Amino acid sequence: MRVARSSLSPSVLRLAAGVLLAFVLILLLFSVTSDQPWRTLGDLFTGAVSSPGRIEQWLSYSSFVMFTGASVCLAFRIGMFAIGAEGQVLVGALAAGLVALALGPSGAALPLALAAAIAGGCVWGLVPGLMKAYLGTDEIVSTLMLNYVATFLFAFVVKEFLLPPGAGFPVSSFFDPALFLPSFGQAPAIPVVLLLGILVCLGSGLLLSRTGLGFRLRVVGESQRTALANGYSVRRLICLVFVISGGIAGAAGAVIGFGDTHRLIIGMATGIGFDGVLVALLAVNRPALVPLTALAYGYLRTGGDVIQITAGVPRDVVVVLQGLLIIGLAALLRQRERRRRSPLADDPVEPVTAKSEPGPELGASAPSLVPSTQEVTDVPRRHT
Amino acid sequence: MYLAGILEVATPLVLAALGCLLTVRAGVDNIGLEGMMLGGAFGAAAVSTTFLGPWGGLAAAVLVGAALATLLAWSHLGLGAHFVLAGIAVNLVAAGGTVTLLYALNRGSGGGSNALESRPLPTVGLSFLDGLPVLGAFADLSPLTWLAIVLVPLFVKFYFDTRPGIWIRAVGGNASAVVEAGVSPLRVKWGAMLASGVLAGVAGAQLSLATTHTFVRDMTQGRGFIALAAVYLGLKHPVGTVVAATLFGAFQALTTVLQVRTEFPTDPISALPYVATVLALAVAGLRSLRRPAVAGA
Repeated sequence: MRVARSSLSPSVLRLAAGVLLAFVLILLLFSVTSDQPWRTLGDLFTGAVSSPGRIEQWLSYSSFVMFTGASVCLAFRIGMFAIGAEGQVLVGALAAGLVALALGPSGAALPLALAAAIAGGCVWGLVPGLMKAYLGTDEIVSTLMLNYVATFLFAFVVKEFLLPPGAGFPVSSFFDPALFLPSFGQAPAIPVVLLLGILVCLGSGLLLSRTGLGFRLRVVGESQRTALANGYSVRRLICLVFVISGGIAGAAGAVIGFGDTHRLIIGMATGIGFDGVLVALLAVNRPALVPLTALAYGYLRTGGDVIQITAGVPRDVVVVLQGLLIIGLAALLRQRERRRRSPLADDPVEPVTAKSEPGPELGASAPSLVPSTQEVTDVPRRHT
Repeated sequence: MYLAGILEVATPLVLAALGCLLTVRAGVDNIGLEGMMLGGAFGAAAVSTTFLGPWGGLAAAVLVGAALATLLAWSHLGLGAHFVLAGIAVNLVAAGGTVTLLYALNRGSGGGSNALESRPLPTVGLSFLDGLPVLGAFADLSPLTWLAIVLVPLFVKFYFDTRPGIWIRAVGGNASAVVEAGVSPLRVKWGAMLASGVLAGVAGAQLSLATTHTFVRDMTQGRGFIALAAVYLGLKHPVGTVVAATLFGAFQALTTVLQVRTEFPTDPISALPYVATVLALAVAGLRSLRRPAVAGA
């Protein structure tokens, strides 16, 4: 948390070099795809504010990513490498959509649908959570697999049960307009979703930093041994965090449905979970910072949509940038953690031989990013 | 006929899964497999239409796979990024990069921006097998399918009986033992990742130069993750991995047949590999619970 000032400058330098490199790469990609690479670059960075409609698109896209970002932060902060937000969003959207389509224009439909979305996300988080906590299953693989299960489940339900007659492509019918999430004001309109997204991020931040539960969760993230020694029920806490982060991601599914697509569309939330990983990393896993990083990322993303129209350059250019950003941020974060840890190597979990090995997994463990699988698989055994 | 189809579809899964097995045993789940396959498929298709031809395309697929593996290994082992994040990053770079370059390639020719025709690899014609029961399936296979068939026994031999194979298996389980044997775990991991990248690249080439004769954006469609699933369902054993990958290939072939010939919903079948893997993970977890006190507990 506290970084020595003197050691900050090299990392700032490296950051600048990284940013420069990213710029050069983007220009290079633009020069092969566009006749006016500089203009396209300009459009990429101004596209999000080029019209009131774009501003609204930027704000609402950013707010969706705030949900998944907060969800990812929670899991990462307690050292769980859960990357299941992608699937949880879809399950949430599906649950919300089913309730909304079943209830129609009833006044209870919106809250019930939202509850259904949260419940769906919770269930999709509980499964890998239980497996992790009680069976020692690697959460990386289980959450990845469940993402695909969710994708196919979503496609199956939409294609088999929700397809309106005569639909040319796999979508459900529209929800009742009473369920659409409104926007305030005009040109630019501020979507309600934005407020919800900020609230969720701040709420998650408060949960972690201001509550007893949050304290216990952070202890688990720092060192499961310490948590066990303090008598915390580590397994239950792990399950709980999976459920909470799943629920938040599930809610994202509902707000995307009611705030943006207004019906269920196959592929309606593709990539939103991994975008959440990026904004969580940008925010150094602090949920309270996620609104800012989500807005920054959403800005770039919307710019990408704009250049697709103005210059015909595929918006996928931004996806390349996203990938490189993740590498750079993960590396920076890693070094930061290592610096923080190194003066007080107080975590006795790592084997002594680790010192001779420079590999990242065997060095001092970074609590927020490197959940030592060793620690976790130990937990059930120690109890049985 | 159907057997040949299974072999064709299973080839990329087997190749990618074998590479993935190496990285998993070296302690790194290769999440970037999907991107490496996609990059390989694109490189193969793009180069196959040049004067280098399909074999040049295959070489390009190997290079692209290795390059993306280098990105993964450098990010993870060099910069210290967690391998999940590095893997996600590789997938994003590959997905975005292939679409961007596809567009750049098609811009000059005025072709559509979603697909790229490739010049396919010639099949290995063994006409004397034609019409025979079972063996007839082997009459007209892609050279990469033959590569996979030949590679499997060689791989098992490599995995169990050679020093690099032993090092790789040791690195994930007991890195300090490897250090004491005078081998750098870091280098072993680099090697495993590069091998995985090369195999994934070849797997991608099979997709764009043999199974189909085009490159389409996002054409891997989760095959990289299916390969990862095969490793886990195969209990991280080479034979198990090959069996699981082939089984998944059979399911994929079945889905294709059903899609073409019937109205039967194929999504549940497509989800089977993933569901099976989650169940396998749970069962493996249960088994390790029943067997407490394994490693110094």
